[in-house]
Amino acid sequence: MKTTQELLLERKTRVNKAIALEKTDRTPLILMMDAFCAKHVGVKMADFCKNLKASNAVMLESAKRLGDFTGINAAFGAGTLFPIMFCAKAKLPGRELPDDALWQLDEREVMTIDDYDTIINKGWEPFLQDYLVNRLSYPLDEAMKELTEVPQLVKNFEDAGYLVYSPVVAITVNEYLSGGRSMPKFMRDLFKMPDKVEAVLDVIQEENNESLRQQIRATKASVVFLSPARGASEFFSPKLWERFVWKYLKGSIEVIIEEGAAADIHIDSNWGRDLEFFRSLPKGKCVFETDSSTDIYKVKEVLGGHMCIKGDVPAQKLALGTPDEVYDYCTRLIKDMGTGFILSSGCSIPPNAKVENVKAMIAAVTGNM
Amino acid sequence: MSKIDIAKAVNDLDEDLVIDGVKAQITEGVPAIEILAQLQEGMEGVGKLYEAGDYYLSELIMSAEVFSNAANLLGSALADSGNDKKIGTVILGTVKDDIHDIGKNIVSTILSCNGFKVVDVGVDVPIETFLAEIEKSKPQVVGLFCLLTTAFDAMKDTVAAIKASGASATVLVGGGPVDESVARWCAADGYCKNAYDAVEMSKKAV
Repeated sequence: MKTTQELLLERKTRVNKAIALEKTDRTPLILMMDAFCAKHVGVKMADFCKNLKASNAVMLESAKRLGDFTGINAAFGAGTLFPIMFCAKAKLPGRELPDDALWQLDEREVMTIDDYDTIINKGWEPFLQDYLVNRLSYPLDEAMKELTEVPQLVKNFEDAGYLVYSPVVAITVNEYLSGGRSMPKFMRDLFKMPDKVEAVLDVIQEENNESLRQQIRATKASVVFLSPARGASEFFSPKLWERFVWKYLKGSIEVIIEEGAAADIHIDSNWGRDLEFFRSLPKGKCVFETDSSTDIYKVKEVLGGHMCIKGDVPAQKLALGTPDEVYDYCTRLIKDMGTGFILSSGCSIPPNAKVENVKAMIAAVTGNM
Repeated sequence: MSKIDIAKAVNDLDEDLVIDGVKAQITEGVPAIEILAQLQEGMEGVGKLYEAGDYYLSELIMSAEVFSNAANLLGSALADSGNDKKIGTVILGTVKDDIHDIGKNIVSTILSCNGFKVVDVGVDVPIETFLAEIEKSKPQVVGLFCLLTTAFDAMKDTVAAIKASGASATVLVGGGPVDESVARWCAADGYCKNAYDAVEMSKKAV
C-alpha cells in the first residue's frame, strides 16, 4: 500500500512525463470538476459557493469517493471569482439564482468605449479595481483575502495524494474586454477602432504578464492554466485572430515557459483552422486542452509529438451517455492518442454528469471496469 | 441614381459606404423598400461568404451592425411603404434555468436581417411563456437555446410541451453543448449549428 506522498509523487511524475512527451506508467487522468462534486456529494450549490474553503472540502470528498485518478484541475470552485476573470457579473446560487442552480456569467455591456481611454491613460490594475468594486459591486477585498488560503487548499488535495494540476489560473487579455464589453460589442470594436483596442490590450498584457511571472514564482507552479476561450478560430477571421488573439496568447505562453512552467492552453470551441500556429511553440512545454469542439484527431495529426494533448470527453456524453459509451470513447482515445496524452473531460465535467460515467473514465485508465 | 453599390458595400462590411449609399438613394427618392432589398441582398452575400468559410462570427456581427445602422436611416419611410411583409415568424428563447443569450441574440439578428419576424422571449424562459407566445404569434419556427448541459432537461420538456400543445411550428435547438445527439434526445425537429443553419432551416419550415 503506497502512502499518499508516494502516490502524489507518482502522479506528478506521470503528468510531467506526459507533458514532456515521454512514456508514462499509465495514461494520466485529470478531472476538471467543481459543480459536479457538489451534486456527487449531495451538497447544494449555494453551500458549495459559500467560499473557496467550502468548495475545496466538497471537491476533496468527491475525489476520495471517486478513487484512483491522477489529479484535479483546480483546488476549488471558481464561480465566485468569475467577475475578476471576465469583467462581468456572475449570478450565484442562493443569491440571484435558486439554491441548487449552477452559477452563470451574466454578460452584458458594462465596460464602455470611454473606458478604453482610461485604461490607456491610467493603467489596467487601477481601472480594474475600480471597475470591479464600483461597476460590478464585487467584494474584491473579501475575494483577495480568500485567495490567500489557496496554498492550503492545494495542500489539502496533496495530503490526500492527489495532484492539483494547474494551481495558477490565467486568462488571455482579449477575455477581459470580451466579457466587459460583451462579445458582440467587442467584435464590433475590432472593426471600428482596431488600433485603440490593440493599444488597450497591450497595456493589459504588459501588466498581466508581470503579475503572471510573480504568481508562478510565488507558487512554484509547474503547470499554468491559460484560457483564451472566446478567442477561438471559429469566431474570428484569420487577420483579426492573429492580431487580437494569437499575438497575446503566444506572449503569455512565452512568459509561462520562461518562468519554467508548462502552459496548459484551455482550448474551448473550434480552433482547427489555426493548429499550425501552435507548432511555433517550444516542443514538450505546452498542453493543448481541448473540449471536443476541435477534432482531437486533427490536433494529434498536427501537434502530436510536439505538444501534449489533454481532453476531450464531451460534456453531453458525460450527461446523457452510458458508462459503456464513455468507457469505449476513453479507451479509444488512450489507444489512438498514445504518448503525450492526458485523459480529461472536454472543459468541466457538467454537474449533471452521471457518476457512473465519471467512474468509467477512471476505469479506462486503471483497466478496472 | 447613386453609383454606390449598396449590396456590395454591405458584403464588404464597408459601413461608411453603405450609409452614404442609403442617404444618397433616400435623397434621390428611391423607395425605402427598394433600398432595404439592396441591404438584404448584401446580407445574403454575407451569409454565402460565411457558409463558404470566408467570413466568421466576427464578420457576421459587424454585418448585422452595418445592416441595422443603415436600416435605421429608412425609419418611418419603410413603414409608410407598406413593408410589413416577412418571410415568416420565429420565436426564440433560452430555456428555463439558463440565462445565456449571446448565441440567441446573434441568431435573432441574422434571422431579422434575412427577412423573418423574430419574437425574442428572452432567457430562463418557462414552458408556459413559450406556449403563450406560440398561441399569440402563431410562428412557423420555435428556436430553443441553452449553453448549460443542466438545461438539457428543460429543453427536452419544452420541446415535448410544444408538441403536445398541437402547435404546428418546427422546433429547432442550438447552443454551445447542443449537437445532433442532443437534438434527437430532445425529440426536436432539427439542430442548428450556427446562425445560418437557423436561416436555412427556418426558410424550409415556412
